[in-house]
Amino acid sequence: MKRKEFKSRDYYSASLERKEDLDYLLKNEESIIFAIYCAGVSIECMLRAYITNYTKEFDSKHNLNNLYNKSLISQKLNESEKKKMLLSITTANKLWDNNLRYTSKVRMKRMIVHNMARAKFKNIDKFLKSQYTDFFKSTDYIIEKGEEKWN
Amino acid sequence: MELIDKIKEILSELKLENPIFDLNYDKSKNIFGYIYDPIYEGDEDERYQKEIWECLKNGLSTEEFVKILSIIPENKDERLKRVFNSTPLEKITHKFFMHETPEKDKYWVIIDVTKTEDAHKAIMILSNYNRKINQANQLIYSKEMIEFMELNQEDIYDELVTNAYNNIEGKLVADLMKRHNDIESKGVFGKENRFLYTYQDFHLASIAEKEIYFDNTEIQFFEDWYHVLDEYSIIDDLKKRVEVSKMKLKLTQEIKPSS
Repeated sequence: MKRKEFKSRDYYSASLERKEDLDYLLKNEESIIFAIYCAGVSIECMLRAYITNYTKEFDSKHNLNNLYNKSLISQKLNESEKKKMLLSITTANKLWDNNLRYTSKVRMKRMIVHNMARAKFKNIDKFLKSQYTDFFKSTDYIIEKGEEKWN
Repeated sequence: MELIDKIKEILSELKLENPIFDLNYDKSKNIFGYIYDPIYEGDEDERYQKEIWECLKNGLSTEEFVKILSIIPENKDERLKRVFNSTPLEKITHKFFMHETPEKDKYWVIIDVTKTEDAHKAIMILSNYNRKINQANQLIYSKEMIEFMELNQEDIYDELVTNAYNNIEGKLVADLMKRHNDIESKGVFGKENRFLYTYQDFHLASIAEKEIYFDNTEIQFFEDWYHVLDEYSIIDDLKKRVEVSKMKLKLTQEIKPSS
């Protein structure tokens, strides 16, 4: 299927389906990298669903902040939702990278530890927990709001 | 006044150190964009965003405020990733790096890795006295962190020094971007802007030790870091180059004709 054939509804359905895949992946700690990847795809699909509602222009990059701006979802949100959505998007964008699909578990661990060293964190478990918890909470919020404001 | 200019003016109340604004209009004249500033290196996104939001809410009318889609605070790494869409990872074999700009000032970079009883450490020094930059950063990796990274003894140095290089190159690029943007804000665009290369093919190059000569101010700058570098092997090479530079400066003075 060529990309240009994707309709807004396709992206929307894909987003919800990837979210279901994510919930399944999260049951197994060994699948964490693919779970992060899957969460990012789910968010990206939701944002692309909104973008495709009003334009056929395709943004080939995977920067969630930029896709969020283009989606214009913020116009459907009240002030407190807007604040929370923006924070969720930026939190997700920090960990999400389209190249995660090529990232081995060891490389991911090294990337995380370098971030820890920069942030002067000492406790690995605490750092990992906060990174993952914030990321998946953000994903839940983005998809939930995307679904709620659809149509 | 354009809304973007008004936003920049209002956000100056945030007392940022050295901000770079990257704000744009979309087709419906909504505003979106980013603010880079060194203070955003910390891990307090929620607070940074709240401050920006509150500041704009207080300074803009309701009609203006609803035009803002997002203004996102970003740190150096996030900015580089967004602008260049990648973070380079390559094997680093040198410890001294130098970049001379089209304005003939020099950025010096020193990186090294050492092992102490409790941890591995990576040091990064960036210096350019014309830009009033003389900073050292140290990354500390505990035994637990090294173990978690699943690194063999022989891989530790490469992994840590590469990361240090990427970090410090990012800081240098951030300053070059700032210079590019300062020139652009004076109406100099495209190829006319002598710092355009920052966005095109910039790569921080190493310098062979025998080619390193410092001037008097650079010598002072580096001597200030001796105490920090004491536990790194690079200290011997640096001291040697400082001494050679001093000798060269002395000889240069001596051959000047008397007037």
